[in-house]
Formats: sequence, C-alpha cells, structure tokens
Amino acid sequence: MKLRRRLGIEWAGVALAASLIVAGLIHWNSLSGFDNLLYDRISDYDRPQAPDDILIIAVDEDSLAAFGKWPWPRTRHAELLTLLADASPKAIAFDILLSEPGDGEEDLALADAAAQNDNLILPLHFVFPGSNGTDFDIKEPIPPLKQAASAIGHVNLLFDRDGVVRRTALCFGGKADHTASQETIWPHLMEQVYRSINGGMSPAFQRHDDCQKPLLMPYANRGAFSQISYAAVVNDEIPSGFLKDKIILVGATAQGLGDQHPVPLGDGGTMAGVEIMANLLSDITADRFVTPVSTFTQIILSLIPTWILLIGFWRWRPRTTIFVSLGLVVIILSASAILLSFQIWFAPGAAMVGLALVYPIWGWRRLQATSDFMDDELKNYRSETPDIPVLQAPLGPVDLVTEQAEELAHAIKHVRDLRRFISDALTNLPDPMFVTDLDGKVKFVNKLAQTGAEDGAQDLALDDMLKRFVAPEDLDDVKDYLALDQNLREHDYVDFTSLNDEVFAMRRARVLSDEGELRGHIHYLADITEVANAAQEREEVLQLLSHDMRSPQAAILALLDDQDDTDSNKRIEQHARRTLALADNFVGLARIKSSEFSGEDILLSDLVIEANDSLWPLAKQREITSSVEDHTEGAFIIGEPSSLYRSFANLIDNAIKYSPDKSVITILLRTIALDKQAFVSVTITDQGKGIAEDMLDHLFDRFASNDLDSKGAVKGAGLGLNFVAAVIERHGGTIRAENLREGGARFTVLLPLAPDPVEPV
Amino acid sequence: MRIAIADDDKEIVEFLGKIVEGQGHIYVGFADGNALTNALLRDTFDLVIMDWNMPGKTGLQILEWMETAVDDRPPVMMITSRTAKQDISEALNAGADDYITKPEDPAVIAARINAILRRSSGSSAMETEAQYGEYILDRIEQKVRHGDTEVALTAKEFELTDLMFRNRDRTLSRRYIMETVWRTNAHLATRTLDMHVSRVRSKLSLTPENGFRIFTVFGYGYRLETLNKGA
Repeated sequence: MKLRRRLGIEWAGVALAASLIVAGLIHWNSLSGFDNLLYDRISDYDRPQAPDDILIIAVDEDSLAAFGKWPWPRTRHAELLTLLADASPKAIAFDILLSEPGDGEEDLALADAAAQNDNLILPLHFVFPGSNGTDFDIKEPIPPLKQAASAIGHVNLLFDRDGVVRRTALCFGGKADHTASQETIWPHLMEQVYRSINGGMSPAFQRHDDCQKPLLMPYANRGAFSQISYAAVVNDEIPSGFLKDKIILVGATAQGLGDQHPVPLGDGGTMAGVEIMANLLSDITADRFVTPVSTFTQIILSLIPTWILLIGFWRWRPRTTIFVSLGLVVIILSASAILLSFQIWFAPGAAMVGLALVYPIWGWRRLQATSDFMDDELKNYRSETPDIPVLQAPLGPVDLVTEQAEELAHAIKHVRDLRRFISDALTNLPDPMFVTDLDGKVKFVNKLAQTGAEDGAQDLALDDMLKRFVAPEDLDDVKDYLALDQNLREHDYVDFTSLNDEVFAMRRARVLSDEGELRGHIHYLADITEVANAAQEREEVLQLLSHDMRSPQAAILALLDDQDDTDSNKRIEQHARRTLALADNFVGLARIKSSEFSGEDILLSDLVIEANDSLWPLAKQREITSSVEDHTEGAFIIGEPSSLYRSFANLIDNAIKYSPDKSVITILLRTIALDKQAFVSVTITDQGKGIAEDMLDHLFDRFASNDLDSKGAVKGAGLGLNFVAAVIERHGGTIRAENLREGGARFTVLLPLAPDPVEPV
Repeated sequence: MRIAIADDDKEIVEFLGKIVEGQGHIYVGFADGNALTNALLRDTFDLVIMDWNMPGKTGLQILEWMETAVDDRPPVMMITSRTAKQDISEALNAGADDYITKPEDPAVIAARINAILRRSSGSSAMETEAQYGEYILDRIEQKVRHGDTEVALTAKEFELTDLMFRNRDRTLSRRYIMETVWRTNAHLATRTLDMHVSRVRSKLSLTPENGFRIFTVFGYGYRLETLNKGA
C-alpha cells in the first residue's frame, strides 16, 4: 500500500515534468536543429522532379572565362536580352541585381534591350538594416530598367538558424519609408514569374492570409534543372527554338560570384541562388509547399507517445516498455514521414525527447521508491524477526540497490526456510490438524492417517471434510461448535467419535493476518480415545457403586418401614442412612475429582432453603429450630447444583447433629465485597459445644470426624466435610470454621457472585 | 386403578406395592425389564412405576420402547437410587412423567403417585376457591389466604402459585411453567422464573412447618411437595 502510493506520486511528478518539458521545447522551438536535420533526411526520400520548361541561363565559370571578370558591362546583358526577345520564351527572370546606375549609355542600351521583351521580371532586394534608422533600404533596378520590366519581385532569401535555406516567404511587406502610412507588399520574384505566365496569384499565395509567413519548400535534386551557359547563349551556340516557351532564369552559378547558399539536401552543400529560385518556382507552380502543424497541435501530438509510455509503465514489464519505446520512436518517425508526403510537417524531435526523458526518469524514480520501500520493509522484517539471524551480504562493496536485492533474497530464503520448518512441523505433528480459510475451504492438512480423511482434502469444503471422519451421530455437535463464530472462546473444544470409533477432542484457533484480520482457522484434533475410555469406565464404576451401595440400604429402609418402631429398628435405620450418606459423599467426591467444572446460574438462597427444608424432619425430631435468613435479594452464583445442595445439606446436617435438643440453628445469607469482588456469604451458626480446638485445623481433611466431643450419640461420616471443602473450593469459594465465644460453632462459606447476565431480548 | 411396579429388588416392589394398596389401588410386580415389556403388550395399566437399573432392559430403554410400541402409553414414574442431577433430568426429558428417589418417605411417594393419577384421569373443573392445607386460593380475586393473613401477590405470582398447587407433588418442567404462566415459548430469562419461585416461597412461607416445600429439580424444573406435618 505504502509503495503504491509513493509510486503514484512519483509517477504523477514524472508525467507532469515530462509534459511541461515537451511543451516548453516546442514553444521555444529549442529542437529546431534536430528537427531540421530530420526534415532534411526525411525529405531526401521523396524529392520532386524538376519541370522541363524551366531553364537556367547560368553565369558560370565558362562564361567568366569567355567574357572576363564580373561584373560585366551592361551591354552584355543587353546582348542577351536582345537574343532572348527573338527566341520568344514564356518568361524571363533576372536573378542579377541591376540597382546601381552605371555608365549612362550602357544603361540605356540595356533598357532598350529589356523593352524588347514583354515578359521580363527584374529583382529588387532589401538591405537590413536600412540607412537613417529605417528597417530596410529598398534596392530597386535603375529607373530605365524598372520601366522596361513587366514586373519586379524581391529576391531575398530566408535563412534558418543553421544558415540553411529551407523556407521562403512569397512576399515581403513593410513600410517603404518613414512617410508611408501603410505597409507595401512586394511579391517574390518567382511569384511574379508565376503571375506573368498564369495571369494571377499563385494558389499558395492566395491561400495564406499572410504571404510573409515562411513556407517550407521542397528541393529537387541538385542539378535537376536544365542549365545552359550564358556564354553559350550569347555566342549563339544554342538553337533559338530551344529557348522557345521556356521560363528562363538568369543568375550566377560561378563559385567566385558569391551567390551560393546552403540548402537542405542532406549533403551539407550549397546551391546557386538561381537554382534555389528554380526550385521555388517549381514549388509554386506545383503548389507543393509544406505547412508545419500549429504549435498547439504539435504539443498535443508530441505528448501522445509520452503518455502512452507513462500509462504503460503501470501495466508493462520494463522489457516490454523498452520495446514499446523503440516502437514509438519508429512510429513517430514514420508518422512524420507520412505527414510530410501530405505536405504537412510534424517535427518529431519533442515527441522523441519526451520518450527519451520519461523512460530514464521513471526508471530512476521507480527504482528510488522501490529501494526506499525495500529498505523500510527489510528494516521491519529485521526488527520483527530477531530470532532469525538475517545473513549479511557476503560480498564487498556493491551499490545500494544490489545490496537491498541481496538482502531481500536472504529474507525470502529465510521465509522459505521458516515455511518449510512450519510445514514440516505441522506435517509431522503427532495429532491430526487442518487449516481452513474463511470460506470454509480446507487449505492445509497434515497426516490424518488414522482418520483416512487426508486424501485430496485440499480445497475440500469443511463439511465434506468432516463427513469423512466424524461419526454421523456426532456430526451436528461438531457443526454446532464450528458455528460459534464470533464469540469463540479459544479454549473450548468439542468431543466426537470418528468413523473408526476413536474419540477426538477438536479445538480450533484463529489465524490472524498482520493487521489482526481473521483469515481462517486451524483445527486441532487430539486423540483422546484412551482418556475417554478411561473416563467412561470410571463413570461406569461410579454409577455401579452408587447404585449397588444405595440399593441395599434403600431395601433395608423399605423393610424397616413395616416394622415396629423398636429401639433396635431405629438404630438399624440410622446406620442404613449413614451408609447411604457415606456412599453419596464418596461418589460425589470421586465425581468432583474426575469431572470438569460445569456451572449454571443458581439462586443460592433458595438452594440453601431447600437443603434446610430437606433436614426439617431430622430437626423436628429433636425440636431444633433451623431457619434461613436471606438478606441477599436474589444472589445468583455460577455453580453445580447437586454438589452444592449436598454440601449445604451436609453442613446443616452436621449442625443439627452437634446441637443440643430444642436449640436454634441460624443460617444467614448476605452479599459482601472483598477485594472489589462480590461474594455471597453463608454462615451456619449452632448453639452446640463447638469444635475441639485440636480438630479445627484438620476439620476439612478426609476422614476427620468431630465425634470425640459428641459422646457417641451422633456420628458424622468422615467424608462429609471433606466433600464440602472440595465442592466450595471447586466453586472458587472458601469455607471457614470457628468457635464462638458465647458457645457454638459457626461455618462461613464464601462463594463468588455471578456476573449479571445479558438478558435475551 | 392398576399399577405395574418393576424393580429387581423384591423388597422395593413390596414396599411400593403396600403404599399403592394403601391408596386403594391394585398392583402387579415385575422383577426385570423383559417381563414388564411383555406384560405391557398384553395388559393395560394406569401407571407404570419402574426402576432405572433392571436386568433385561433398563428403564430408559423401556421408556424409548414404549414411545413406539404401546398405544396410549400410561404415565411412567421412574425409581432411581441415583441422585445426580443429570440422571433425573435425563429420565424426565426422555419422557418419564415423574420420578422418585429411593429411599423416600412413604407418605411422599403416596402423594406423588396420587398426583400423577389425578392428572391422567383428567382435570376436574376449576373451583373458584380452593383450599390446600392452610392455604386458600381465591381464583376470582387472585388472592391467597394463609390462615388468617391475606398475602398480596402479583398476577404472575398468583398464577404460578395456582399452577403449583394444582399440580402439587408433581414435577413441572421450567418450560411448562413458562408457557403456562407467561404464555410464551420465547426464551425467557431463566432468572425471572427463579426469582418468582423464590418470592412465592417466601411470601407464602411454603416451609415444611406449614406442610409444603418447593423442591428444585435442577436442570429440569420445580415440584411443590405436600408434607405430612406430623412426620
């Protein structure tokens, strides 16, 4: 429980941290380098084809060799434009800046040549920052050329953080100067080319509310666009039909001219600005720009794999998690690639970082939590089982977790040993034993060989188990005993005879969990066949004695009833009665010593009154008044009625015997408290001569008789007081005898008061 | 009335026989259990008095046998020389109508036999006033007069007194008393009955001096015994 809670908290922490990190990485675009790399790699698999109608006229090394160093006189360009005008291409775009005025005549010649073309688009570009505090300066073509051009477009490139040109904005907007109240929009040179050919805005331009938003542009392979040398054109080495209906881009490709930029072709190489333009034009025409997903979508999508893994941590084994993480990486990359083929860019970096983060962090936190938990548990284990020496890890310094694991292994081994020990001990227990769970299913059985009930007893219902070895007539008793569930007194037991005529005492103990919850019961069976047989034999002997000793006396008394009341008959009757009393006391005493105490609720006053009533004829003969004064108002005790009744009858009988004729015997009942315990006190006081001093100490010994002082007139059976003492002791009471100063003897019996009963409703 | 008396002790059979003859009845004596069961199949008796321990069949076995073998079983009184509480309650719970221990005073035995026969011959109509020795029960006013004094009793105490006097010399089970007086078979607290009996005993002074004693049969019930005051 503790571990679960701790792991839950750790997990929530890891989940929150990972989610925040992923969101943060996306928000601050921190992984652009990694994502760009992946973008380059992924795009490499599916590069667009270069359309045939785009032709680059390149100021290449050959041209420089033919016409000398750059810049060339503008008449050279005029020459080219004149040639191109004749070839009637679809459009001509110059990626060569012509913004500084040069030699006036040459400029005019160029303007004239330009004017011959009705579809010439010229570049402008912006210089950042501008002069005089403006954001930028606009470098337009020189005015005569501007007039000759059919359109002007900007040629500024956008560089990513790594300096690579991946994106392009289809326009550039800004305030042309300080006086401008509105932003001016300058479309890109290639957008202008598209418009001049198709007579309208490109779909990409139309679609985007903000044409300044950079779009990812797919690149065709290096050198995919047709390219001819400037020199070759000017020298008329190209058939004029070749240029017809081509879209002609003029730009510098020679290394020395500086118009080379890094491009995302995965080879780290550069590309001439004019070829980048060609790619852009191709993309605009085919409308194949790639749109990145919005930041919000990016965050949500990036979190999905992380959360899959987080949830999986609860269910999967670490090995599974590893495979799942690897699988997720592949899925992320594939998804990214598939989306890219639909011109949508999902940067996989953050999602992968999330996966990479969450796995080790969770591993760390989980290990920490588990380690702490194991540490605690092992501490508990060690403190709880001081009698089992926990072996120390035998090896030298190892890391904490290894040490804990080793200690755990030792602990487990000890538990196993302990279990083995317990199991062996139970199995080899001489007495049968079995364990049941709360559903009454048998969970463990040791050898019940003598009952024959152990075969396949595992998981047997308790009832079926009992039927296998309890004699049918005792089955209900056993079930009644087992039904005493809640208020079970552990020491109670039930006797039953087995199917093999053996006698067992069945006892059960509760099995409790560490928290004190009831888990089941252990049932012990003790073979008491011999004890039971011996007890039964003794009982039979006692009954025989009781019957055979009393019967003849009863017969004598029956016979005497018919006879005259002669003196000798009276004496025969007295002796017969004495023998009867002796037999009763003897059997009573023997029974007391051999049987367990089993008391019931007794109203003591009435028991004493009835004992006294039973001796009334005897007292009346000698005109002795024997009366009971009850001051208890209903004092109940827990007692065995027969033996208690006999005891009080014996005491009163004694009192009558030793009392002079016409005297008074007082029996007084009171409740008293001694040492916070409530007792009933019964005193029997006579007016006789008292007890001989030397007899007082031995009064309750066996065979003691106080007949020395009684001049032979009355004789008590020696067992009488011995029996009384045994009975009172058995009831947890005391008996005391004393002589009164004013004469007479007093017997005081103290018996513990019964607790108030729980009245049934 | 015809009474069967079975005991392996000849003296006891004769002793008891003399008592029943003194009450104006006829008796047939048996010396063992088998002789008694054979006779019970062929002959009719108004009461069976039998010993607990007999050769042939024990008293308990005969009781069980009678439950099934004899139609319209006559009342049974057990004689026992055992005084242990378990023995007596076992006999009563097995179906015996009453018991006597030996030795017992002949007058008491006579009273007990009469009590059983009085019951089995059908109860007489209830008098509005009845006298038992020195006690007069007024069943309309629910009052008891003892000699010259009137004893105040609660309704339950009167009913209990009435029940015991009507069934004097007969052993009544606690359950019978509970159901008759409290008219419930729900398990009443056992102390309630103990206390009522105790109060009736002391309020009415049911002592041998007054010719009565209440006798508790432990584990079974109570009996109000009439005593011969002269004895």
